[in-house]
Amino acid sequence: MSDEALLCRIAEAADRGAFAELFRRWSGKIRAFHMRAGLVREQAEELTQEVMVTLWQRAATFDPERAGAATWIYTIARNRRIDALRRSRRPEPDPHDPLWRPDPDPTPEEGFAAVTRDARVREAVQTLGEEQAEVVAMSFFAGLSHAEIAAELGLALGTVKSRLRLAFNKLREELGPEFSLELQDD
Amino acid sequence: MPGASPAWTADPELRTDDDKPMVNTAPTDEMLAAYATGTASPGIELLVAAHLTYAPHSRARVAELERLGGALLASTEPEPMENGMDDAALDRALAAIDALPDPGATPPARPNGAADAPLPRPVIDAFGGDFDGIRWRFRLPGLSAVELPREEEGGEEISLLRARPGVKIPQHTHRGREMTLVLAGALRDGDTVFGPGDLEIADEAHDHRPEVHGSETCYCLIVLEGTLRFTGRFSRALNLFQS
Repeated sequence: MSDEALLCRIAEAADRGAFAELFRRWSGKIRAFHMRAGLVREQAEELTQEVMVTLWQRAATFDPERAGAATWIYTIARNRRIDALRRSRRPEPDPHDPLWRPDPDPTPEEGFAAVTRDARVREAVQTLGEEQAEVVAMSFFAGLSHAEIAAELGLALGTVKSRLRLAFNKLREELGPEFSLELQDD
Repeated sequence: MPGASPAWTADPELRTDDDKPMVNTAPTDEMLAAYATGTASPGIELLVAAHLTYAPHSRARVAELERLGGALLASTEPEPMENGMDDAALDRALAAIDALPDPGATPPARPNGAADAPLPRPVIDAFGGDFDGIRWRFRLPGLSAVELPREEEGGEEISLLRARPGVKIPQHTHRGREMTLVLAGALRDGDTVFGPGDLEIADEAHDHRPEVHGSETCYCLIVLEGTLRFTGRFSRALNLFQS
């Protein structure tokens, strides 16, 4: 069963079996994510428990048309981390805000894209070499600067920069020119 | 059409082509990336969240980065619990679920303040949750402001400005970048007009003197970068966690 289907089972039937499966698939990854972000093991374990419970609570708000399961789970893990560290809620735009400017009508191609688009990004990430994937993940998950990554991996700054450049060129190649964002530079 | 728009409209239809700025008025890629990765400072985070209310294009860019986050998370090697306590962790999570309050009990609705408040939701929430309750302080004729308490000495300054038509915003001494997000009304700086959702970034070298443009009251969110420089933005949040 796909992650998306598991989330729908939780939302529609409060299915504990579906939750147990989701827990087996994701809790270890979420724990690793929090530890990469610099949390000590105990904090990472506690926060992971909270994230998993939040997935259960929010399952009804999961909309496969808007995002795939992995992306949705990532945003919840990220937001819970910020909330826990700051002891305040992360500010988020509210689609019910009277000032909200709606998205332009999607083209037919974009209409059914969320899960497909997620899968494409995942495939693109899998084409990265191990070394490239590592610097992208360090930059993305921990917000480390290029110099900090270099220090942590014991590499020359130029090596880190060229690995990141190669990685983003490759992602652009796979995902198209609109994928043009670079992560924090020095 | 110019000048015909209601007091704080965010409707892009009501902006004319003449008003379209020639400079980039969106947050930088770096700011959007920091927001998507959860490593932005509180001020940048609020600025981006408010901006996204008005900017479908920026929302699409943030969504793209979140997809990358999802893909990186999916390909992360799992970290097991210490001492093979994974089953126990699942049991604890299930127990926590059982202890949750009845999902039928809906959380109380948030106080909305004025339903037609000219500020986006994240900004109202950051400044106390009630637009009518914001405690404006007089600065100059036609100009009021309110500041969020600073998190620490030398940290960034986050403030909200309300300026009547015709008011010139006084010159600041910039220690670092000053970021001004227009929330309602419009500002003009030189030849550039900034409407709702537009961001002006000024640095130490930039001599600017924005003034309220048009006949509407202008509201803006201003983030002034602090003197503190953090290497690894996230380490700062970690310090808070330890305290």
